[in-house]
Amino acid sequence: MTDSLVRDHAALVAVVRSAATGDEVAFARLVADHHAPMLRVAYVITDDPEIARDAVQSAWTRAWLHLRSLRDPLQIRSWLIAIAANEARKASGRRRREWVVDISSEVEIDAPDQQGDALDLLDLRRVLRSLSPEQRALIALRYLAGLDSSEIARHLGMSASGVRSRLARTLERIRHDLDIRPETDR
Amino acid sequence: MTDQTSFDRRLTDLLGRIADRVDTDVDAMAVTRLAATRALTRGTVWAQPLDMPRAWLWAAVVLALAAAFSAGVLIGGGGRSGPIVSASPTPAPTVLLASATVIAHYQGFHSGYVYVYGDGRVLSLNDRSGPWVLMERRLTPEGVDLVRSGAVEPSAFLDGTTQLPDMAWADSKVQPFQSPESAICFWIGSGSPIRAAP
Repeated sequence: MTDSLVRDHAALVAVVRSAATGDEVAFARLVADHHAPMLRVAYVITDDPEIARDAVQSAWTRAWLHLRSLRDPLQIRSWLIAIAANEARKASGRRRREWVVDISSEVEIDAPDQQGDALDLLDLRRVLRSLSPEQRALIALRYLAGLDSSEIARHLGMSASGVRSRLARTLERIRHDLDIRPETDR
Repeated sequence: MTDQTSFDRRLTDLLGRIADRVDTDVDAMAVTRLAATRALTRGTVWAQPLDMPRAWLWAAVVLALAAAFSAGVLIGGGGRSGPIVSASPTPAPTVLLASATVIAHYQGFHSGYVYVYGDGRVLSLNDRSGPWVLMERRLTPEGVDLVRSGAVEPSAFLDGTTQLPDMAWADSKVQPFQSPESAICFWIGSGSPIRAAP
C-alpha cells in the first residue's frame, strides 16, 4: 500500500468517525463524496428522479442514525450505496402509479451511428421496468456501483452464492428479453 | 452484446448512461441538516415516543402481559406444571441499559409484533398463528447491522420469511423469552409514558 493510499485511508477513517459522533461538517463531507453514486443507483432502481432523491435523503437519515454501528470505516462507500439501494427498493415497491415512458431524450440522436445505442438504451429501460425492485437493486449494485457479490451479500443479508445465482437469473432474463443470443449478433 | 463479457461491459455502459440522466448536484450541508433533523424524530422507541398512537397500546399490552405472566408465576406458579415465562426476584433497574435500545420494531394489528435490540435480541409475538408468548432469537453484530441498514425488515422475523446467512445468527432457534428481571409498570393515559414502578 502506498503512503498516499495509507494517508487517504487514515483521512477517510477520521472523517467517518467524526461524522459518527454527530460532526455535521464531517458528515457533509461524506454527503459531498457519496451522494452522487447513491443517487445514480437509486435512480436506476426507481426510474424516477424525485423518488430517487427522496430515497437517498432517507438513506442519509438512516446513515446519520446508524453510522456509529459501521465497524469498518473503509466500507463506508458500499455501506452507503447499499442503504440507498434499500431505500430506493422500498420506495419503488410502494409506488402504485403506472410507468410513463418518456422516450424523447433517448431518441435525440446526433449521429446515425448512435442509433443503435439509443435503441439499446430504450430496450434496457423497458426491460429494467419489467424487473422487480429487488432485481433492479442487484443489477444496479453490481453493474453500476461495481460492488462484488460478497459486498452485496454482506449489506443485503444474503449469501454470496445467493447473490450470484440471483444475478445470473436476472441477467439471463435481461438477455432473453433483449433477445441477445450468446453466439450470434442480433 | 454477444458474449458474457462484452454483455457485462455493455450493461455497465448503458446503466451508466441511464444514471447520467439524473442531476446529482447537491447541497451537502442542507442534506446533512435535514438528515439530522429527521433523525431526531426517528430515534429509538425508548428514546422517543413511538410515531403511531396505537404503538403505546401495543407497548402497554406487552408490558401488561409480561407483568401478568411474571405475577402468575410468582403467585400461582405452584399450580402449573411449568412456568410459561420465568421470573426472577431481582427487581429491574429503573435506568434502561444500553442493551435495551430497540433499533427496529414492527407492530401489526392481528399480526403481531417484533422488537430488535441493539444487543442482538429479537423478541416477537405472532398474533396470527401463535404461540401467544414472547419468543426470542439472537442476532450477531453483523445481523444487527443488516436490520439497522434496512436490508432486513423487522416484520420479516414474524412470518418466518427471513433467510439470513448463518453469520447473521448467534442463535436462530426460536425459544420462549425468559426475562432475567421483572418490573411492574403503569400507564396513566394517553400521551403519558409507561413508567416502571419504583
